[in-house]
Amino acid sequence: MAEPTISSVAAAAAAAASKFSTTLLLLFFVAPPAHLKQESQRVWTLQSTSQIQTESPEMCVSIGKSIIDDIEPVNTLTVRAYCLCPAGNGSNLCFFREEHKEQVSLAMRKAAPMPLPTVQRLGPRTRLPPLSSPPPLPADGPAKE
Amino acid sequence: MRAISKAPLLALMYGATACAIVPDLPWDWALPMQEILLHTTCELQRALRDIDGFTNRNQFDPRGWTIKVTLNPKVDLDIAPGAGLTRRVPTVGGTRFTNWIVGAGNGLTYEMKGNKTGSMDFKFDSGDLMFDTNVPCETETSSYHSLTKYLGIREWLYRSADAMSLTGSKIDSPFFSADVFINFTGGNSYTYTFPGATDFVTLGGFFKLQETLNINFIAKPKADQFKVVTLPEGGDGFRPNKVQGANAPVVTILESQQSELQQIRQQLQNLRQVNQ
Repeated sequence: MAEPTISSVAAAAAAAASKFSTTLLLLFFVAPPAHLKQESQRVWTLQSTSQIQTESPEMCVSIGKSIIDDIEPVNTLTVRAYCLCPAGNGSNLCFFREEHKEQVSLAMRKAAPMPLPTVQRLGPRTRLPPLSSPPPLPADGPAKE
Repeated sequence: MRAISKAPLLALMYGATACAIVPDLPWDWALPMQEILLHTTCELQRALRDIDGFTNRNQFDPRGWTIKVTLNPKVDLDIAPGAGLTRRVPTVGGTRFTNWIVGAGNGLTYEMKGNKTGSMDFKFDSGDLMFDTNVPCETETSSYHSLTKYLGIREWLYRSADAMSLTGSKIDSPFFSADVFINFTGGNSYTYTFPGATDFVTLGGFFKLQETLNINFIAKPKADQFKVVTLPEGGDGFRPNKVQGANAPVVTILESQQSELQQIRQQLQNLRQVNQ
């Protein structure tokens, strides 16, 4: 099988960038009632799983973090959340759109490896996506009456 | 004069009827709970350390026991004041006279009794005790009670292990009991004699201190100790999950039941006939 050329890789990366959907996988676990959550010290049982298709890794991380934060005070329920993204570092980090563009351009200059499909584990301290910049204003400014 | 001498006698007789005595537990210098427990702990520690490696673990594992040391302090107080008088009528002279005696023997007596008992269990894990270096076994206190210096626990355990090794048997539920018994007894009497009559007051009683020490070895139930992981690895901020196997509560209940049964057995052994 022929080695992938830089142009083919760039084409694949561009295709990935255009279709950046990311799956949010949620695993819900339950435990008997107790005074404290003490998640690491209790016996948990898998209760249900859920998959949510999101448009981008940013959306996936943001929604996953919100769910984790909401479930955190519940003593009898805990959650594990994963983002299954098309482009990341290959181990545990999904690239957001801007990062993805940078990584692709670096890879084309052979300064970095190409982005790979990745499963990112979400947690209470997972970094949130950067705030998206507001849409650019029209050249002649806002409409005036 | 005679009227005055009767007053304290009657006051004692009436006053005594209103008394009820519940003795207080004496201070630690007299009833040395702390020292008994300390010496027991030290003797047990030395014995377990000595036995470790000397015996076959299948017969007696020094680390495999929960040790319960029970102290039963008991205080008994008994005070028996007595009073009486004799009178001769007429006091002097006369060929015919009468002798009055109120309260034969020691006179009128009134007995006041009271006792107070307590019980406290101190629990040790034999494995932890063996390696505990914070027990102040070399301490000499000012109230060092001679009765508590040597309780013979070490010898008892050592000899039992020795006999076990010789015969190839297993030690099942070792039990040790010791009594520290202190008894103060006293009595006094006062007699006032005047022509033809006497007034007398007696006071007797005792104060007993008893500290019963019981040591129970409860075998820790054998159970497979295992850890389980019940949650997959989480993201940043989640701690890894690793918990004790599900049979841990069963083990605790079994041990607790065994301990209670052994204590009941020991209490039955310690039952004594109560003196009336």
